[in-house]
Amino acid sequence: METVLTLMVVALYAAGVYLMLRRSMVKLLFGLALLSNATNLLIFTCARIIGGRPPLVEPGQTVLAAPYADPLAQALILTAIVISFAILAYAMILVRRGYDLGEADDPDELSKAIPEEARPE
Amino acid sequence: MTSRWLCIITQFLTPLLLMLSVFLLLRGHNEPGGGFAGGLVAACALALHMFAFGETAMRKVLMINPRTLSGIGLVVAVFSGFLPALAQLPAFTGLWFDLTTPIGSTKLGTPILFDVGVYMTVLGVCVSLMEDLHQE
Amino acid sequence: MIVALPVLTPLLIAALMICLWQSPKARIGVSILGGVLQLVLGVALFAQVLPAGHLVTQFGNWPAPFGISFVADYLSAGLVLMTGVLTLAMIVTSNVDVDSRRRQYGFHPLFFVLIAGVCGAFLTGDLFNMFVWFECTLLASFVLLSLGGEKKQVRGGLQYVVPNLFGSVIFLSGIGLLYGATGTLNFADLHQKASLVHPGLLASISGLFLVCFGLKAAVFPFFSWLPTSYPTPPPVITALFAGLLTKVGVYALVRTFTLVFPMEGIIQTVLITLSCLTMIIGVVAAASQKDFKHILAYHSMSQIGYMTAGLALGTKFAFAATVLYMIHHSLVKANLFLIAGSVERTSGSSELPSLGGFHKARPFLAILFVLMAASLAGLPPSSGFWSKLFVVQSSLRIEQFVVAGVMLAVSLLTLFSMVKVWNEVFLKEPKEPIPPLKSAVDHWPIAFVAVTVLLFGFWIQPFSDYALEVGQQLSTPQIYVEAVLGVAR
Repeated sequence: METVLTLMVVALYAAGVYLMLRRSMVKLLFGLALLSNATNLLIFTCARIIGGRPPLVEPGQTVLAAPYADPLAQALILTAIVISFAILAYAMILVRRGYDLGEADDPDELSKAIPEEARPE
Repeated sequence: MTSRWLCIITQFLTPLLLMLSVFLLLRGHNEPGGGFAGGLVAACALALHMFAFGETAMRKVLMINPRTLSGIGLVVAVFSGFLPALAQLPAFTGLWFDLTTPIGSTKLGTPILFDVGVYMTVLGVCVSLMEDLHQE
Repeated sequence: MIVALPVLTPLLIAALMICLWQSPKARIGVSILGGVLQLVLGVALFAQVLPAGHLVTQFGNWPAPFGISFVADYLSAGLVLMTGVLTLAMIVTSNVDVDSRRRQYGFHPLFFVLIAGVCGAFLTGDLFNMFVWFECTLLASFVLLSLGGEKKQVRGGLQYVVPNLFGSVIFLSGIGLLYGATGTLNFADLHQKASLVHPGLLASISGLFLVCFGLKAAVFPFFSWLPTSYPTPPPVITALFAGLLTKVGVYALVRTFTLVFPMEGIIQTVLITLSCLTMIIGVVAAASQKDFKHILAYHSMSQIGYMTAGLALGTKFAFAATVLYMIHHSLVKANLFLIAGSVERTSGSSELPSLGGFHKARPFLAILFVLMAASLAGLPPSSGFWSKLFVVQSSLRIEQFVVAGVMLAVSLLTLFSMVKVWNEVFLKEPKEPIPPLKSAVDHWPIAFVAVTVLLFGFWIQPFSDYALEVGQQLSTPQIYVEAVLGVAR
């Protein structure tokens, strides 16, 4: 299982970086979304995979019986998902706003100077 | 283009969903549910109401500006973190006390206050988002 | 409890601001109250940390490696105090600088969320929690940067969002790998467990952290987002970013590379090289700029090099130099941006060719600019002089002559840029007459920060004593570990 997940992480990273390097803002954002998912999967894999043992204390017991799935990693992933969702949503709005203002979908255009007539007086 | 059926069903569903959301909010500390889930369900109820009867009717049900509601929710949530400081404990420590009434006894504590804050924030944010989308 | 207050209070203020969405007047009042509170809390925290050394609070009363700890040592407390000074200055300026449309779209709540995020990053004792505060800061700064939605702002915003988002992904990957290798994310606990990890693995993970914190601090190959995005929003926001955000990156570097990762071998060589390149490229790029704010933005990148160089040198004395430099640069650079903002508000532009004549029209502003510029370039006896003295001396002590040479050459070029700005903005004959000052509030915050900078310059003894104490604490992490893990039970 670990091997499959590791390969999956690798594939997602590769696809994310590839998309980021395309000359399109929208693909760049998709690439970032893939990267953040790859990272979540990486945390999940790093925390060891223990299936079918939720970290719940059995009735009548006071401590957890070893082996149990690591709850911390899941909490980390949940937090990271929420955060990356919020930031990606904001980045999407920015791209949309740029589109409304007549920006091209090409990241290379961004680094060029703003044409004279577009400058606010 | 509101259909009559939608209006009729919504009249029953809105209060039911709102009650369900409060139920989810209160059971959330130890069981599935909580302020976030409750807030979302309440927002669903109001969304339904908005589709059926329009924005002004929905505002009447909510009774308060959604932005203000989310602000109050945040104040309540952060304030619940401050409370334990009065008892010389670190911030966000859960303080519990038993409440016994003729109907039965229950436990109340600062985590519930925090959940109520989250509930209000989620509800306020979702409703103001919906209003903005509706106007667009 | 006092340890958590500098974070919780601005959050509470931000929440209050959202409640007051409909009443702009009340928001201005609450915002100034929030600024004053932030400064008072900074002073109170500093006063309490000073005798104790470390103050620790465990959120939710969960014992140390399991819950989230907040730790205030000398470094954190000093930076929180500095944040308080800047918060007050910025919030007062923002009431003349930020237009009512931006205020209506939530400038005030975002500002205080940003402050909470910065203080949280300074105070947290947990790596993942630090990530959360970073993101909190970033999200607030994204929105502040593009608030108003002008075309140049959307461009600047995108150029800021994308690299920072990528940096966050790298940060999170590093956290995941470190958690996999050590099974903990508490700084104190990490310090103990990191020595058990294979050194090669630890070095590669530390490389990830070097990249992501370097990106946030705008160190050489990762800097390109800074000069393109910083000059786009209203100047007070730029001042806030230049004063605080890059310092958060530097602080994170200092914290992780003194507590968790060893600063040695290839990582040290890489960081020293990158620091020198950052200094040189920043200052050379600044020399070719023709816009007041662009010049300052490139300089703020160049100065980051001094701080990371101090960290890379890795001695007690060099750590002290880094801390002194961080505080000096935050205050001075933020203030220079405020001056640029005042100039821009008057003449509607910050491009050097269209400016001029400010030494007659605004003599007070001119004096303040001279003081700040001299401090940035490191003329004695200014805060910049002492900070540079410390950094250069620490590199000479361990015979890093090239680094010392680069530092001195770069400060000469800084002086050149500042003289250029002085000639163009203040001395040159103006093209159009300069209108009189609208409100005196314009200059108060600048004077306020300038007084702290002057205090720093002329009364260096307490500051240098403090910095040396920080250096001592940073080079003996064992005390930190005991303070965090010891009081837990």
